[in-house]
Amino acid sequence: MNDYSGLLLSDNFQKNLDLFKEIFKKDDMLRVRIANLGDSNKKLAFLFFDGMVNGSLVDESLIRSCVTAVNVPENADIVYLSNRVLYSAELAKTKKVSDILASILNGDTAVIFENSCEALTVNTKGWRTRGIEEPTDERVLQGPREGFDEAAILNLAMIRRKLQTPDLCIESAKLGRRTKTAIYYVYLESLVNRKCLREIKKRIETIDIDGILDSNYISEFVRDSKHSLFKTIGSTERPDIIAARLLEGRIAIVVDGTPVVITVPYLFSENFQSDEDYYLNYMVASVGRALRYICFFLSISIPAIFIALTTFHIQLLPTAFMLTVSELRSGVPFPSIIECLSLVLIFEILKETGLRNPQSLGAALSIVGGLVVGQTAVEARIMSAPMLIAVSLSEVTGLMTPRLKGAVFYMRILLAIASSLMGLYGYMIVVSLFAVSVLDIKSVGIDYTSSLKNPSFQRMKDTFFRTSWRSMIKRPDFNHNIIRNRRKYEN
Amino acid sequence: MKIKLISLLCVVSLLMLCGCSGYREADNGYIVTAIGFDGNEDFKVSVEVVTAGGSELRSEPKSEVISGKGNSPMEAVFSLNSKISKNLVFDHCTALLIGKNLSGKKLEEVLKYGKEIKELNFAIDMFMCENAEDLLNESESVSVARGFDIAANLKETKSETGIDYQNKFYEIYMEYNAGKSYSFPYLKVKNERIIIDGESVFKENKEKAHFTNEEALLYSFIKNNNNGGKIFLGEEFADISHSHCSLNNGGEYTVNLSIKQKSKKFSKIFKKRVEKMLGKHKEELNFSSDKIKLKERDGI
Repeated sequence: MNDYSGLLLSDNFQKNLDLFKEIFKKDDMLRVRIANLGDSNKKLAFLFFDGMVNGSLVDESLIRSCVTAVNVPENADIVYLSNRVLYSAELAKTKKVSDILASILNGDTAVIFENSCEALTVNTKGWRTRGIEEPTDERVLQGPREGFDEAAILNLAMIRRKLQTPDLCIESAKLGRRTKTAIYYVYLESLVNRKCLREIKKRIETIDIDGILDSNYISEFVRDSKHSLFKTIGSTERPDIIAARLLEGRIAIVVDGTPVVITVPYLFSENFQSDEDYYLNYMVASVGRALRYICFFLSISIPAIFIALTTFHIQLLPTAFMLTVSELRSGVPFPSIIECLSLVLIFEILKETGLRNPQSLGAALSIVGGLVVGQTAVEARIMSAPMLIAVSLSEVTGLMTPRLKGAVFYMRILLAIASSLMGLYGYMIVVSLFAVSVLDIKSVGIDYTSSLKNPSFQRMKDTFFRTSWRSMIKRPDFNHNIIRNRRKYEN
Repeated sequence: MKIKLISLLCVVSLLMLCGCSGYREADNGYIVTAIGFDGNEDFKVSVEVVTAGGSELRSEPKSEVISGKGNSPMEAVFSLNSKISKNLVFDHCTALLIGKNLSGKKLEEVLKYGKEIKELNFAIDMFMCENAEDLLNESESVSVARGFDIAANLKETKSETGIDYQNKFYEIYMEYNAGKSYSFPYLKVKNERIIIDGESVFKENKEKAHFTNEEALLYSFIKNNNNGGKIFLGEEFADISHSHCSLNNGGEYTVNLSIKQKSKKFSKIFKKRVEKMLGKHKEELNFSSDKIKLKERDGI
């Protein structure tokens, strides 16, 4: 594939036109409009892609202004064109063919002038976007309902609207050999951790791939602990969340073509934060926060502890309960671990089909799932009711921490298997291994559990619970060299 | 990275090597609630098992008594196992009954067997009765199983009388090993219900004394395992909140009592009662009445 880097425009107008026609000979979307500059004989060519440009802008600001230009001097050149003729807020001059290609492929219009080895690229982007909608996975009861869309420029504008400060920095880069996707590093100059910024830029620059279609491509390339169950890069579709994270000294990476913006560094405690924690009263939010921690623990532990207690440690169970379990389990042909894994699998299948099926099928699916799994399997003695209850409870509590759904799934299974092999000893061994692995994780050089290590009241203000905004006067201290105080511009 | 992988491999191998020892499904065994040993010539073991309702949902669990015979406790349990299709699960066994006809070496064998088998809880309560199998068969259970009834009965008796029987298996085994006397609460069937009727005191695997409930309370004061209780003095009850017995260098026992009611006659009557009891069981108890002094301390 030829990227035409190094190739420059020539003086010959026709030759330049032929070059672009040759490059896009198999692309019928390219439009070439040739016109004269006013009443002179000087020719212009407007190159743009149909559907990518704002048609009326091209017509009115470019073509019309060129065609109706008056008193065009004999020595009119590209400078005259850019300064005196064209109505446009943003235009650039270039000799490089690669630059022109990049511009017109991005929705700009290239203006080639006769007898000039330079061309103008004018911003006429007019592709359609989805518009501002509330993200479906990040709904809130109270608070802003804006969401990003696929156009990075609009997303950046939304962020800028939240942070109207000259401290906001937006640096652009291109990724993907074929897609040349625009990405933007967004951060607040006075708050950002420069070491993190250098590190993330270095990692992104080393990415070598033909196309970046979503921010997750970048996440998987640059994340620490590549095989860890826990995510070390945050993501969101909400501009208010991005603004809040930038105010804590994080770096946001906006990727063109996707509404999902990623942020670094990302800490373990963020998995338990909800978007609306900061829009509700702190007491209400604290209850939700504490519940999420509890539900995470319950979600991974309930099946494992149930298996351990009913197969290895029955002396720990009250006799009446033991008799009930024994009675309800009698006749079930499978060992407890097989029952548990089958139920987990069934629930995951139901969840996935529920997500991806049309709404009209949703009701039928829930009836099938409920009746088949809930009632029929138990009555047919394929599954036992206590195990079904344990797994259902585990699945329901797992929904409280959507950011950890992948980790919860794997942890639940591994803990259940360990419990079936060694009882509570196996459970504790695997929990210890998980704890060690979590403590070992870093996110762009920052400790993943930095907010939980060396606990102090200041650090705990926004972890297991949230204190009032009145008392959250300092930023989190994982970024060591930033202004800590939220209220005044002092350290 | 290499070290992490090797460590992970070691842990996984450890998990695999441990295999499934101790693994059993909840419905894969009969839950034993009481076990009893009898025997004149050979050993007879009787267990009360509680089974789940089976194929019917929400049916009541039921208990039944199964017996086995053998030349040793282990053989007897083995013959019992051969009669049933599932394993016996002892984790919820609350009572170990010893038949009166089991004494001497046979009792010693039972105690050793109890120590050796891992399934039996060391903190299980031990009881004495006339015949363990008859006791289990003749009585009706109030709750799910007779074993639970016996445990409930023991708890109730302890709280009413204040006697701490010290009849756990490990307590009795320790006393037996040290050559000291040990005692079991005595069970019998009354109106198809199991009740505790006194205490049997053993030494060197032979029954030395059988106390009534009241004597058992007095004995507990002297043995120092009492949290208070009521003693009937003929006209009134003396409500004792606390007692403590100590032995001084001169070989004298001093029993300190905290009495809730003020009673001038109490110390005289109490001493007489102790003397009467000691007279009855002088040799076994190794006490001498003239070496007991009572100190009264009036409580509130």
